Amino acid sequence: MSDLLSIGASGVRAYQTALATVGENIANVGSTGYTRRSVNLAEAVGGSGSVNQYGAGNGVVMTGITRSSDVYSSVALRSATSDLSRTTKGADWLDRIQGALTGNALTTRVTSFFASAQSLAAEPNSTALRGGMLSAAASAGIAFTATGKAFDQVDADIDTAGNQAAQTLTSLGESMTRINEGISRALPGSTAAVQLMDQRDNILSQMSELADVSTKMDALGRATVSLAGSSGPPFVQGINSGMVSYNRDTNGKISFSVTVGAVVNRIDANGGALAGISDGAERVAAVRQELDAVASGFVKAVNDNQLAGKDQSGATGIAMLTTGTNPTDISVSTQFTSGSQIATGKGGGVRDASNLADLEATRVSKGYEASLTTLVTGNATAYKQKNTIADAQSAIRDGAATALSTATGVNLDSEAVDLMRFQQAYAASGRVIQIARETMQTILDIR
Amino acid sequence: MQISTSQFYSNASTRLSKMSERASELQTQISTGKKMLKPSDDPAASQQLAELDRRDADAAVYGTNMTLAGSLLDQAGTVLGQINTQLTRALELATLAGNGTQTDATRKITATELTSIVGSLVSLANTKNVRGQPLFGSASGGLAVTDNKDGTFTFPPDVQVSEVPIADGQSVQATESAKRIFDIGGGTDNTLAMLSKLAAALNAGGDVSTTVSSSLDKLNDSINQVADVTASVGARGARIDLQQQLLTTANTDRTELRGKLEQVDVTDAIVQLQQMMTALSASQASFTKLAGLSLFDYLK
Repeated sequence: MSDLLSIGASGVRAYQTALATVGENIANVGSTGYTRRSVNLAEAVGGSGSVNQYGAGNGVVMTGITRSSDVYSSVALRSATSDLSRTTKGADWLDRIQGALTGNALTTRVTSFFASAQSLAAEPNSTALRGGMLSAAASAGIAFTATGKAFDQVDADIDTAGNQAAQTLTSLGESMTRINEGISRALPGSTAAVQLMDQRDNILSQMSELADVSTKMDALGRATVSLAGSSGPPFVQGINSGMVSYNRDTNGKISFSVTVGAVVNRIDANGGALAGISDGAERVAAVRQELDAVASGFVKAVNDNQLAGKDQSGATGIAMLTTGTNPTDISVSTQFTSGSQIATGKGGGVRDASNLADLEATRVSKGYEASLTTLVTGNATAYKQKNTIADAQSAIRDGAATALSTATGVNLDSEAVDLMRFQQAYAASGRVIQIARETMQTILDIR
Repeated sequence: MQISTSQFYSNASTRLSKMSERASELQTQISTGKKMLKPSDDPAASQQLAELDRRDADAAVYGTNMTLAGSLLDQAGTVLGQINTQLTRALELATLAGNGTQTDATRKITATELTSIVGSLVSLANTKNVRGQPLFGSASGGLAVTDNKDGTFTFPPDVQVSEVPIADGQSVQATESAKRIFDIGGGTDNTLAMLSKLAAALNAGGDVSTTVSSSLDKLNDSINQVADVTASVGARGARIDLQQQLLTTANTDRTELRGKLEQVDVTDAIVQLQQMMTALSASQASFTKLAGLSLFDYLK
């Protein structure tokens, strides 16, 4: 009867582990990246040469722990994540551009400047109106300067975000090499191997937020990661990983590159935060270029108009505005200290406003305010479109997440069922031991 | 399909937070009264609003300019009326002086009165406007007419004061030059010099009949010239009144359009909010019910 005893004992051992696994599943119901585990139970196959040819067998044996993973859903989720991440991260920068363009009321202040010129045209000899126009010019200059500064800040923030993304990706790559190393050492099917694979998938999903990655798993489950849009050796292979870096060249163009060993390759990311940051930087550069063009045009028009006219004392006008390092760094010239220097007329006298009429004509023909509005509207349209795309991509990502979660997630109800099932089996195995003992006792009790 | 427990909770939280987000958006719209808070909320409407903002700013300036131009023309009309009164009196005096019953002594008295009329005409011509500038001045500034105290009068170069902009591409001349008001015979003579000459002749005594009769003709011309200028000033005043009405109509139209573009339909928004709140509380209730179900309750 010792074989019955050992069969019972094997059952108790197996179901104890099974119950512990269910307990682990329940405990980790809220853990991110945890994949539901189940135990593999198989009959313990006895060797030949047994005395009793028709014995029952050797009980049950636990052969390993299985992760309920779904490779295809994981890949789909990763690709959906990097698509969405590109769009939302790109949209964040468009929102920043919108803030920079509208936050300083630039269009309103340019309008105020031209309106003050029209007021002055009604009475060119009025000191108060001249002062009004000069301060309107100063505040239009301040608005241009502040808008330029806001764009500088956006560029600085893009640099920070770019460096951060590059660093995070590099350290994720390093972590992945350690996991690969761990997987090589862990016994396949062991809890340690399963835990490492959970961590591996977790890191891959974090990587896909940053860049679109393509992965290959070997038989043991070690990952080889390549960054899409870059050629050369893979970013992570076995225990080696590359270093991702962010650069901004002298022309203000940004780029990401990956260094593996001594090989440097450019990353032309088309997904993830890396691509979002590149998109944003490109957009900022384009908007800024247009803004600079409007600013330069505005300054030139105002100054040309001044030089063509005569001021209150009848002298030829001098340039009203000066620009600093950037075309948007506009301020009232230091030589231009008084409203009396505004060239309102063209030699008719102090009550001649013909030069201001020319300024108004230039305003109408060049349409500076309309250009600024177009800039704001163009960006707003792009931002809105990005948000629409992001909504669609969120839906795709949510679908992929649901599909993956169906395969890998913990459902408490099914765990409860497993718990009952294994508890019953455990109790029954206990009874088997008891019966084996009682049976044995029957023989021992014979006197 | 088996839904994992964490997915069930995260789905519920996503749904509920989306609904709260929409509810809060509606609430912001109701409390601010505006549909759009950022250009990206509605790029097309925001472009129109920017154009409306610009037109509003321009309209404010044109409104002020028209008020100024209108008051200048009103003032010009009043002063021209006074000039006309003075000239009519001068005509009476000249007619009187031409009467054969007058003596040198009585003509001297008439001459004195004519001289004082010339004085008041000069001061009327140099009236200051609301901005402290000569009402009938020229572009060069300074006095509208200077009495040289020798029977001659100097007018500044005849460059008119710049017109006042009152609408896009439209402007109005809000004043008249003294030179034009006192012009006789297309620039050959002026009222002030002519009256001074008459006064001097009356003062000198003797036979004044030729001077008086030519002066009478010229006085009639002067009065006609002032009447012409007054009519022209009045016509421009009427044009400003008309333009002001147009501006008011345009302002109203813009306000209406702006309302349509950016104002929220409060009734509709409140109904939507109510609907959203009902759906939200129903979702919350059903979530609580579902989350409360667990097989573990039956494990004893």
